[in-house]
Amino acid sequence: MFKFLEALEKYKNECAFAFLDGENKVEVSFEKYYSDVKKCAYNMESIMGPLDGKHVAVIGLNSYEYVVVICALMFSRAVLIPLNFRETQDNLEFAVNHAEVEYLISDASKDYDFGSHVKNLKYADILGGENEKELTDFTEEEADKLFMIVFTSGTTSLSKGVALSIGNIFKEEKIALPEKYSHGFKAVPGFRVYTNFPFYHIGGLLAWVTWAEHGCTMVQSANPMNVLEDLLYQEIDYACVIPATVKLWLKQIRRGNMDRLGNVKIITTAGAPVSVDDVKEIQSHGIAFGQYYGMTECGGNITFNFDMENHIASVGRCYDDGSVEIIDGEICARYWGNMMGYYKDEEETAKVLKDGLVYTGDLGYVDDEGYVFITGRKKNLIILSGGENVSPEELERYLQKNENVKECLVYEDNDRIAAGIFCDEACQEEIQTYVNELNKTLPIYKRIYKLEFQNHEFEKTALGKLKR
Amino acid sequence: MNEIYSRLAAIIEDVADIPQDDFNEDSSLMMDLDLASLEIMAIIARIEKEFSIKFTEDELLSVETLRDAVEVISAK
Repeated sequence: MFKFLEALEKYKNECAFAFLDGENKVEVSFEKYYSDVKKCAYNMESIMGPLDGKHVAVIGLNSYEYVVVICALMFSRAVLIPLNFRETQDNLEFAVNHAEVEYLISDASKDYDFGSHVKNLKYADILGGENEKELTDFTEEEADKLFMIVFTSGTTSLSKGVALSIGNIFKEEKIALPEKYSHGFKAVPGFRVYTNFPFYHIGGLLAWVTWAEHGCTMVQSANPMNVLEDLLYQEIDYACVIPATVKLWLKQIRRGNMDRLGNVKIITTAGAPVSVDDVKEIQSHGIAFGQYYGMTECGGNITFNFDMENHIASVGRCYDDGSVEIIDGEICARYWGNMMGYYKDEEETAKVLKDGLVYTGDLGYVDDEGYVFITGRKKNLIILSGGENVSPEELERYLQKNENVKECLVYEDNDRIAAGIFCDEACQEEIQTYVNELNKTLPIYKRIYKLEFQNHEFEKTALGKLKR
Repeated sequence: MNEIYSRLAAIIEDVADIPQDDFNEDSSLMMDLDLASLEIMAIIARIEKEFSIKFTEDELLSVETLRDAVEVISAK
């Protein structure tokens, strides 16, 4: 089991975090971080009693406080449930109830009420003070204990809670830059890594674990909207970002604003497919490029590609301690990070986790050198360049609540959501108004930007399902 | 109005790399300018900084065209 707390001690003089916010930039050493974590653990125990096995959800923007709270929860042996603050109320309520959340910890930006059975705490209640609780690293005996429940978009229902064990996260050292294949870049103390994955996403959680394990500095925008301002006059080595950020940065490079990228030397993407043209353009400016592929169900990344020159369209090769098999055209992964299952959902678990293999729902093949290529998607899920997974069925359910919608089909169109609607011509305007109102209740990435009306039924499969 | 539009147009040109001649006040951010959600957020961050204002959630939802954005900024 990786000794995470020992690593925090070992790198105590290094900078752990830099949260960028103009003149209000915050830099924190590992020593201060570990001390703040222990204080938070002490405060939480004083308020909540022993935390071992307690289900505690955390919701809020990426911040220093967030990483203090989640680390304190983890090493107090609570079960951590990170929630997406951009999710719809329906999905949040489902997640809180399904994961049997006892406490909800949130930042000051918003108040939540999930009923009297969920007690609310704010960061201010549990941070600071003088007293510290001594924390210990995980032991081998704890490997199979439930550690966290991370919600991802389900294809047929509300979100699904991926149950990960302590072993899924800490069994081995996390390798972000495999030495043999990473262009000589090494994860060494002081290496500055910029990432804009949110901490409620497995990519953000693992970025924090991975880079902290090696004493690297995690650089983040306090407000992710400021991605184009924050890196000006900053120096970073590595950026792991969503593909949409690469598109944004390329426009800046074309306009001669290279200085807005913080002198980055290597960019990697994860969370969604990246365009081959974008990769080539980035490389043409002397910036190395890599990408990761994985899913929450595998406890994070399962493949990496740092040889884009020779395998540009590939998501990469499997980590040395994992393997990929193709079964009936579907990419299946065996990895020590593979989840315990979906929390309290045996039916869905049985569909995805079979004999220790995670069936990813992606179709593809593996070439002679072990590089994985994705050719399509078996599961019905829209993945946008922002890394967001959107279930068409969820949006179709909302549309079907309008009685004038006879049939509907939600699909991706140019990196955003569109819907085909079968209805009477006279109802089109009313439906457009309904969708405008519906959009106001949805997070920005789930909004339906285009409606295509038709006056005939959609094509169906032999089983009567809509043909997608 | 015109001065606000000019500053807004300059921000859009800078963030999204679209020449100002290619859009006008009636252009829709999503449909005509084809902006991704991250670009729109980056543009809003720049507007908030340059005009020293803060958009509310409702105001953000009400902005479809550049004219809408100018009106929200003017009202601040």
